[in-house]
Amino acid sequence: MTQLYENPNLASASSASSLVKIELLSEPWWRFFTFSTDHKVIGIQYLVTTFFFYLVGGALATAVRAELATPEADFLGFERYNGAFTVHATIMIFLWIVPALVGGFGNYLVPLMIGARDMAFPKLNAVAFWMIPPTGILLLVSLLTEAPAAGWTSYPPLSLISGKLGEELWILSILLGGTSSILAAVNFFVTILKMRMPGMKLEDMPLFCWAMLATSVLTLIATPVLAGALILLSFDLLAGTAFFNPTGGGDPVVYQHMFWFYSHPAVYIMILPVFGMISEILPVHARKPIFAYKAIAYSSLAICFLGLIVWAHHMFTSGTPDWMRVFFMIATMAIAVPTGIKVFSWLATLWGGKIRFTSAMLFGMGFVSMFVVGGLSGIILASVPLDIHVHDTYFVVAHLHYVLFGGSVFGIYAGLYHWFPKMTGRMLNEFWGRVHFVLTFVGFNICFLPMHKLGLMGMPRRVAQYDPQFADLNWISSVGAFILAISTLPFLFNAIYSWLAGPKAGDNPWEALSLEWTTTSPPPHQNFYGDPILLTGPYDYGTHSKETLDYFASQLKTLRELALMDTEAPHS
Amino acid sequence: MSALSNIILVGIGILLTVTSLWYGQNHHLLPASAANSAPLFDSLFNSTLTIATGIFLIVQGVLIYTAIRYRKRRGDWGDGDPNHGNVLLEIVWTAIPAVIILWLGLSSLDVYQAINGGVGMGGHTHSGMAASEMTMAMEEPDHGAADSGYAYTPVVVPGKEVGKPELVVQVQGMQYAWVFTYPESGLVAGELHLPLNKRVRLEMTALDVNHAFWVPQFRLKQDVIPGRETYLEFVPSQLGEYPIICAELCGPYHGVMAGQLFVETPEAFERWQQEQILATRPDDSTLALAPQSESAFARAQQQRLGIPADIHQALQQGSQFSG
Repeated sequence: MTQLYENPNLASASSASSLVKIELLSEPWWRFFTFSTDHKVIGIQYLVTTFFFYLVGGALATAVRAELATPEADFLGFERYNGAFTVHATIMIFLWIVPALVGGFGNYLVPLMIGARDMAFPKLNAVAFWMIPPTGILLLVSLLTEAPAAGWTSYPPLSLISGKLGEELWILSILLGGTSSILAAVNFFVTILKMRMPGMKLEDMPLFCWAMLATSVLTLIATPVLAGALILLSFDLLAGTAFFNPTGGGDPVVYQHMFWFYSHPAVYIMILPVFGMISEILPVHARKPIFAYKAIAYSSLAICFLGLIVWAHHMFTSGTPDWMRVFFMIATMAIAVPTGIKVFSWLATLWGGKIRFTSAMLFGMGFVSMFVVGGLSGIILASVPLDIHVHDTYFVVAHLHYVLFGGSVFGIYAGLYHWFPKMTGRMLNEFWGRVHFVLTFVGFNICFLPMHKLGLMGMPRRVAQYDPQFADLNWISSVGAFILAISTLPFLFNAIYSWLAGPKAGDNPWEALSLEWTTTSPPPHQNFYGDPILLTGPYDYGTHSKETLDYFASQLKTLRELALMDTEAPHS
Repeated sequence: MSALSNIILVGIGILLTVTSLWYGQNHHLLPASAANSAPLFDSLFNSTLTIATGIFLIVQGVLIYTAIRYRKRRGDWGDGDPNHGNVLLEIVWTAIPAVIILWLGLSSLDVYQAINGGVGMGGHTHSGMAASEMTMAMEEPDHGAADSGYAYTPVVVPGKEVGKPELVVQVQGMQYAWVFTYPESGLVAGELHLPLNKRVRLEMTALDVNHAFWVPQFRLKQDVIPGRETYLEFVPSQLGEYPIICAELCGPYHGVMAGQLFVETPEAFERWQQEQILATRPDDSTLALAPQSESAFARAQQQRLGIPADIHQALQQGSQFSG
C-alpha cells in the first residue's frame, strides 16, 4: 500500500486528466498451438488439453458404468472391460487431475500471484507441457491396439502376462507424464522460492502458492521412485528379468511398495492444489478473510510430510508385516488432523460472510461438502481391521471418487469458474453454471454414494460381472454416472460460447484482492504493466472501505497507462 | 448469547448425538457375520461410523446454516466480518480430531490383535512369530473363547488358541479358481468345508498372479501371492454357505472367480470329508466331485460311483481313511 503513494510517476499522472485509452494487444489464437514460453499460454494449453482427456476418460467411465448396469458382462465383455477401467483411471489421474491442477492452474496462477513475470525456467515449462500430448497419444494408441488391462496400479505378475504391447505403451506413457510432472515441480519449487516480488515474504503469499510448494516437494521426492519401478517392470516385461516376477525369484510385493511410494503422495498431488484453490475462492465469494491463514499454510506442509509415510496403507492385505501395518495405520490417521484444520478453517471462513452464490462458490462449497465424505470414509480405510474387510471393494471405489471427483474435480470446476474471466477476459454464463453444478452434484452422489454399501456388502472392485444381489444399487449408480456424463455438456458449451462471445469481464469481476486481479483480463505478456504493486493483503476482505478499493483500482489504472506510454514511447 | 439460543444449541447437540448413535447401530451396511472375530469388526465399524456420522452432520449442517444465514442479501455488496482467526477455536479443532484419531488408532490396534488371535495374519513367518511373541507377552487370564464380542476391552487371546489351529487347509489360488487341500486326509477339493467353532488356519499361495481370499461374512481378507505363503486364521461361528470372493484383480474373469465355503457341524464336516475320499478311492488325493450346493448333481455322481445311500453309517467304520 505504501508503495503506491511513493511511486513518483503517480504525482505527475494524477494531474494529467486526459488519459490514453488502453488498447489491449489481442494475441492471436494460434499461439496456443506453439511452443510458447508464456506461463499463461502454457497454463491454458494444459487446461484445454487435459479437459479433452477428461472427456475421453469420462466416456470410458460411462462405458464402465454401462457394463455394470446389469450383473452380466454383456456390454463391453470381460477383456475390454478391464482395458476400459485401466485406461479410465490412468487418464483421469495422469492426464487430467495432475496436469490440470499443477500444469494448468499452477502455471497460470503462481507467477501472477507472486508478482513474477513468468516461471523461473520458461523453456523447461514449455517442454514439460509438450510431453503431455504424446503421453496421451501413447495411451490412446494402446486403447486402439491392445489396451493395458492390469488396472492403473499394474501389479505384477498380472501386468506381465496380460499383453506386452498394451502394458509397454502404458509404461512409456506414464514415464513421459511423470517426467513432465518432475520438470514442472522443479520449476514451481524454484519459482515460488526465488521469484516472489520484492517485499513478498512466504507468509504473504496466497495459500495456493503454499499448496503448490508442498505439491512440488511431493512430486520431486515421490515421482522418481515410480519411474524406477516402471523401468524395472519394463525390463521384466521385455527382457525377461525377474525383479518382480516370482517365477524367476522376483518379489511382486516390492513393486507394490515402489508403486505406492509414489501413488499415495500422488493423491496429495491431486488434492493439495485444490485445497489451495478453495482457500482462494471461498474468501472472495464469502467476502471474508481466510480463517487461520498460518494454520492452513503449515497444514499443507504437514500433509506433505505425512503423505510421504503412509503408502503401505494400500497394502494392508498384501502380506505386510504387523509392525508395518500398525505404523502406517497411525501415520495415515494422523493426516486427518491437518486435513480437519483446513476443513474447519474453511467453514469458519464462510461463517459471518456475505456469501455470493456464484458458480465458483457453489462448486467451492460443494467441494467442502463432498470432500468431507471422502475424508470420513478414508478414516475407516485407515484402520487396519476395518480396511481388511473393505480393501479392494466398491467401498474403496466410492472413497476415491469422493476424494478425487467430489474433491479434485469439484475444485477444478470451482477454479475454472473463478479464473475463467481472468484467463479469457470474458464471463461464463452464471445460469448454465448453476445448471452444471446441480447436475454434477446430484449425478455424483447418485453414482457414488451407493458404492459404499456395495463394497461393505461384498462387491469387489474391477469386476465386469457381479452377484445379482447387487443389481439394484449398481443400476442406480449407473443412472448417476449417465447424469454425470450429461452434466459436462452445459459446461462445455458455456465455456466455448463464453470464450468467444461472453460479456467482457474487466480486470476484477469478483472484487477479489489477490495480485492476479490487479492486472488486466487477460494479463499482458509480462503479466503486469510496470511493476506489480501489493495494495492489500490477499485476504483483506472487510478491512478496506469500498472507496479505498476504488481509489486503489483507479490508481492502478493510471499506473498502467503510464507504463504503456513508456513502452510506446521508443517506437514513436 | 441468549438463553433461547443456548437451549437451541443444546437441543441440536442432543439430536445430533442421538441421530449418530442410532445410525451407527442401524446402518444395514454389512452382511450377517459368521466368524468369531466378525463381531469385533462390526463393533469397531459401528463406533467409527457413529463418529463419522456426527462429523458429517456437523460439517454439512454448518455449511447449510452458513449458506442460509450468511447469504448475500439483495443490494448488499459489502464485505463480511473481517475476523481471520481464533487461537482457542483452532486449538479445539486440532485437539478434538487428534483425540478421536488416538482413540480409533488404539481401538483398531486392539481389534486387530484380537482378530489375529496372536498369529500374524500377514505373510512372512517371521512377522507371525513376532506377533505371537508380542501377544504372548500381553496375554491375560483366559476369559473363554466366547468372550470376543466387545472391541474395547483389552485384548483377550485364549491361550489354547494361540498358534494351535485345529484344522489346517492349504489354499491355492489360480486363474480363476480356488483349490483347497486338507493335508491331514490328502483331500483336494474345489470348495471349502469347515467345521463350526474350530480354529482354522489357511495357508495360501497363488500359482499364477495375485489373488485375494475374501469372505465378507468373516470380515477377513488376505492377498494370495505367487512365490510366498500368506496366512489367515479364524473361527467360523455360524453354520451356512458363504461366498469366497477373489478381491485382487487377477485377469479378465476376475469377477467370476468365486468359491464356496460351507460351515458345517463337526460331524457333517467329517462326513463330507469321508464322502469325498470314498468317492475316488483308487487315488491318494481326491478331487471333490460332489459339490453339496448342487445336490441333484451330487446324487447323480453318487449313483454313478456306486456309493450306497446309507453312506453315513458306512462312514462310521471308514475312519481309517482319515489318517
